[in-house]
Amino acid sequence: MHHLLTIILLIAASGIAQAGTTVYQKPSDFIRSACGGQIPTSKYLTLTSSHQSKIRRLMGHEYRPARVRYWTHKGKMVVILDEIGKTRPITTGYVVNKGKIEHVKMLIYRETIGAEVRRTSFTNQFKGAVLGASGKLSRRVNNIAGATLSTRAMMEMGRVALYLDQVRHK
Amino acid sequence: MGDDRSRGEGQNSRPRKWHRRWHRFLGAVFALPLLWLVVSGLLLQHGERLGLTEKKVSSAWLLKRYNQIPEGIPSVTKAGRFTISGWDGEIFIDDRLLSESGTLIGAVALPGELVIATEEEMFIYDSQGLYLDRLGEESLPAVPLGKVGLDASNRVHLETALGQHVFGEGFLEFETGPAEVPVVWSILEESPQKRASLQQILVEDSEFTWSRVITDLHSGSLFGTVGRFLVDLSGVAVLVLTVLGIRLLFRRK
Repeated sequence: MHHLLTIILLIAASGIAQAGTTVYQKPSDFIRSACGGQIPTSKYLTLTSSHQSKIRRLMGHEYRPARVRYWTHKGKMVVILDEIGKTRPITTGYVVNKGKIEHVKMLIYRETIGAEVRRTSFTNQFKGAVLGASGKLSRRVNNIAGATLSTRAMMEMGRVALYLDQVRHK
Repeated sequence: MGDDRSRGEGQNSRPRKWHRRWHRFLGAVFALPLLWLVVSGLLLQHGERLGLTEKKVSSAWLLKRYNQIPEGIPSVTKAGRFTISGWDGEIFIDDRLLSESGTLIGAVALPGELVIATEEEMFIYDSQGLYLDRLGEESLPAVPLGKVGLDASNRVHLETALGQHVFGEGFLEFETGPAEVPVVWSILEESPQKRASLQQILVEDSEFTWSRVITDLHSGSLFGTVGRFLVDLSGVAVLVLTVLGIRLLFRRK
C-alpha cells in the first residue's frame, strides 16, 4: 500500500505540449530564390474596402494586415501571405507570373498536424492555376487526408495571391 | 482428520483474506478517481447540450495550467497616446490584446501611425489601432532588432547588430549608417503592477472552453505526467478489482 502511494507521490513532473514553429525556408531566402538572388525593393498594395469585399469572397474573411507587401522581378510578383490553418497562421510564398501561379512554397508552419502540405507533390498542383470568374482556382487541388484545413488555407491564399496580382496591374 | 480440515480451511482463507484486503484497499483508494472518470465522461457525452463547448474558461489558475498566462514581468512603453505592453510574447495596445506577437523591444508614434517593434518583426497600426502592415525579416535590415526610435522629422530608426538604419517613406526602403540627427529611442520599463490588468485581459480574451478542460481532466493530461499516470492506474485498478471481485464471489460459493 505504502509502495503504491510512494510511486504516485514520486512522479511529480507535469507539462502540456505546445505546438512548435517550423521554418522550412526564411521568407527572405524565398524572395531571393524567386528574384535572381536579390531582394528587390518591396512595394505594397493598400487593400481598400472594395478589395477586402472581394477577398472576403475568396477566403471567407478580410485579409490582415491591410497593406500587403510584394516584390517584383521580370514581371513576376512574389508575395508572402499568412492564413490560419486550424489555430495558427501558415506562412506561404507565392510567385505569380502573367496571372498564373508559377511557384508555391510553404515557408513557416506553426500547427501541430497538417504540415504535409509543404510537399512539392502537393504544391505543384497549384502550378499554372489562374483565378476563374467564380473566384475559384482553375486547377483542381487534391486534398491531403488529415490536412484538410491546411489545404484549404493554401488554396485560399492562392486565390488571394492571384487576385492581388490583378489588383497591382489596375 | 479434524486438524487436516482446519489446516485446509486456514490455507484457503489466507488468499481470500488477501483478496478481500486488496479489494477493499483498491476500492477505497480509487473510489474518487473512478467517480471522477464517470462524472467527466458523462459531462463530455452531454457537453454540447450543457453548453460546455461554448462556455469559456475564466479561471486564471486553469489558464496558467495551459500556459496562457505568462510568469514574467510585463514591459511597458509609451508611444504617443498609446501604452504598449509586452508580456512574454503577448503584445497589448492599451487594454487590447493583439493577434500579433513577439518579444517587444519598443514602439514609436508617427502622425497617424503607430509602430510596434519586436525582436523579429515590426507591426504598423493606424491611429485607431487598426493593423496596417507587417515587416518581417524580409523587409527589415537585419534581425534581431535592438532598438526603435524616432527623429525630429518623424523618421523611424532601428538599431541592429549591423548598425543603425533609418526607414524611408512607407517603410519600403532603409538606409544604413550613423544617424545625423538626434534620435529618441523607445525605452521599455518593467512594470510588475501591470500584471493584474494584463492578466485580466488575457482571461477575458481566453479561447479555452470547458469542454477542452474536461477532456483533459478525463484523460488526466491537465495534470501532466502525474494525471495521466493516475488515470492509467485507475484503469488498471478497475481491472484488478474486477478479477478480485469475481474470485471472491466464486470462492464464497
